[in-house]
Amino acid sequence: MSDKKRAGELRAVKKENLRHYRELKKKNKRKISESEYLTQMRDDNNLIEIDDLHTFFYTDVGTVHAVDGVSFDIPRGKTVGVVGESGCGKSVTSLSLMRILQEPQGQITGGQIRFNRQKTGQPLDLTKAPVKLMEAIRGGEISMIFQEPMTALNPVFTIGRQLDEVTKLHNKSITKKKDIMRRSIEMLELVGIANAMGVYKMYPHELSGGMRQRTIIAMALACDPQLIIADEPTTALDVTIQAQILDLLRNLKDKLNASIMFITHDLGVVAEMADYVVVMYAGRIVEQGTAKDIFLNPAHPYTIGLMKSRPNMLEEGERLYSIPGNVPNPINLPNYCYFRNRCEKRKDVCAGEYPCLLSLSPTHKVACHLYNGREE
Amino acid sequence: MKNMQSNETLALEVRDLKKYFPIKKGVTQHTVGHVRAVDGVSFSIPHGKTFGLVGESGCGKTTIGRTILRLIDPTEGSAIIDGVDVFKLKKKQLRKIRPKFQMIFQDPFSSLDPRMSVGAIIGEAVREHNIVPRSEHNAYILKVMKQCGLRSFQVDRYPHEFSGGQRQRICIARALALNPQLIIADEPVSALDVSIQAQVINLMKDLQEELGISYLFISHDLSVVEYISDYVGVMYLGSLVEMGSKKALFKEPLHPYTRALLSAVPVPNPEVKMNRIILEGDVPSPANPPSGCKFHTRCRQCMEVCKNFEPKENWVSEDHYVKCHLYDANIAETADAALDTKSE
Repeated sequence: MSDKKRAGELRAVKKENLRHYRELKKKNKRKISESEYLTQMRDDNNLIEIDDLHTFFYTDVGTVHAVDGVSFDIPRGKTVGVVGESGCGKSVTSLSLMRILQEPQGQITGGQIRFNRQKTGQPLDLTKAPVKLMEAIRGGEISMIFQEPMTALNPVFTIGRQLDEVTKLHNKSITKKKDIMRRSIEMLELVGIANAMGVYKMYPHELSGGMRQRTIIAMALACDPQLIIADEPTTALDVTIQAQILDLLRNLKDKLNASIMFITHDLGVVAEMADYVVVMYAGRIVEQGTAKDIFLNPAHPYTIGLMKSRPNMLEEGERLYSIPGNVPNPINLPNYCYFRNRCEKRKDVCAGEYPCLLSLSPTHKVACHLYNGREE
Repeated sequence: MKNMQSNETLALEVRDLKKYFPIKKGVTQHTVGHVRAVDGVSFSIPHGKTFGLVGESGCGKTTIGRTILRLIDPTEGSAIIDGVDVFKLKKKQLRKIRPKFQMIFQDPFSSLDPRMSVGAIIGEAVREHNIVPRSEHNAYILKVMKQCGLRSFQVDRYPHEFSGGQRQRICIARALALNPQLIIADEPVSALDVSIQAQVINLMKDLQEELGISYLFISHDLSVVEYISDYVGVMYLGSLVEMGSKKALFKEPLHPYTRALLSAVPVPNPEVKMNRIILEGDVPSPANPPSGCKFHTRCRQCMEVCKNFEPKENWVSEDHYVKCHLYDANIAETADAALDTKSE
């Protein structure tokens, strides 16, 4: 392609992007009536139902389909693990859920995220909810634990001040300063910090990585959220500290009866934490099911490859299996199965259109042509 | 490993390595104390073998790698490569011996110069050290690239055009181009995705078989270390607490810290219920390490003797030692003897 032609194309992309940005601006200004965002849940036991979610990023070099038609449920009191390599859209899914995408480049362009709100008893669609309402839900009813505890904490404020802020904003029933402080210290004690009073007065740099992550968890739990999104909460930590934090999260979940959406690339951590597992690849779900389905009977060649490429401590192998090739470029995705070029079991059908999710059992679904004939 | 093979069969021998970082304070920047990052570590790597160094962050494993390379100067001790003590060399002599030991860094995104092409990155040191005659220079670079799984047309490309796994291949090629006998790999795969990790680990293993390189493999990921290493050393707060052949150490971990580390590794099988040993608290500060055995503050099997006396190496077999009083048959005697010397 000549440079001139390429430059023209890039200009066209920029123009198109501007149009999308303006549309979003208009949409954000508009007043949204209640009837637009109130919906009905498909199943009342579900806390979150993500339905055909599309999140695109309009960048200067083209549109990135970061999340492209993802659907899964998070039942009440359960843990759903989302696994995949970097760039597969697992974090963007959680950001869409919280509506904290980098706007105006990142936009939710389609689909629904239904949230079974306990506070009012009325389910609502998070993709359409007005910004004011989202502010109340964020941190209060849905809270998030980030990967890097140092960047998630503000270095110039004490831990106590940052903890108090959450309670002040979301728990209007507590008004007295003393009560807010008592609540914060209670939270610090809940996450297993022995010297809660001391930590309350400390700055983030005075704490170790594990302690910082504990205070972040305390912050996330301060308002008894219904859903905790944990985005790679233990990736920056050592194995021994990781074991502590995972143990803590498991215990707290039962104590508070909350659901957890657990995002990670570590299959071992997912196996330990999750009841249900969603495997993502290049913005789409390739396989989903219960933890047992995925780990004992992996079906998709990508899931199988991921499992095999991990050096296993229980078995001794000669050579590590490695998936050939790389993740495809997210801007120009092919119209056939995204994994085809790296897949060892590809057949002629795989050059056809992208496979849809097939049910192998009531809980186990896979998007692969290999299982097309076996559908019941 | 105890009465090690003669020196010729060793690629690297480290004896009693110490590195203290001074803590400076005040306007005059006077030294008020020392961080004992590495406190008396000895180990050796035979030719063509891999020594894995594991431990939590802040235990000094990276410092060991950097001191051996003389990227930072050691406080005490010796590192012998090819019969020469690297720590005693002058600048010029050091430069001459540098091709023999090379390093692969953790982050392939910051360890490559963004303004140099791949060929220049790999070729720079080759030219400096006159590894091959100038006329064969280009052909040699292509040969090394091919060895590391890079294609010949990529020689003119720049680092930003590559993915993480491929960048790490460039780093390996850069180290390999000098025909080293030892490569110090500091967490070479921890910044990579699982499926790419496997590719890089396989490449490192293949190169070792082909060229007989030795690796000092520094990592916090136990399953990777188990896969690639022949010998493993476990570090805690600047000293080795247990060392042995991979088989001995992973089949029969003895030190309570090693056991806790191994049990903390998550297993990708929801039906396996591990008997997890969860360590309480954090690693103590290396500026002010606990007395006696450094691990006693977090140890479940801590005894009175652990608080006061530092354990010695207990050789449980030919190639496996542990520094723990639990395996010291004559604790009472050692304690008494130590007490006697103290009272004197």
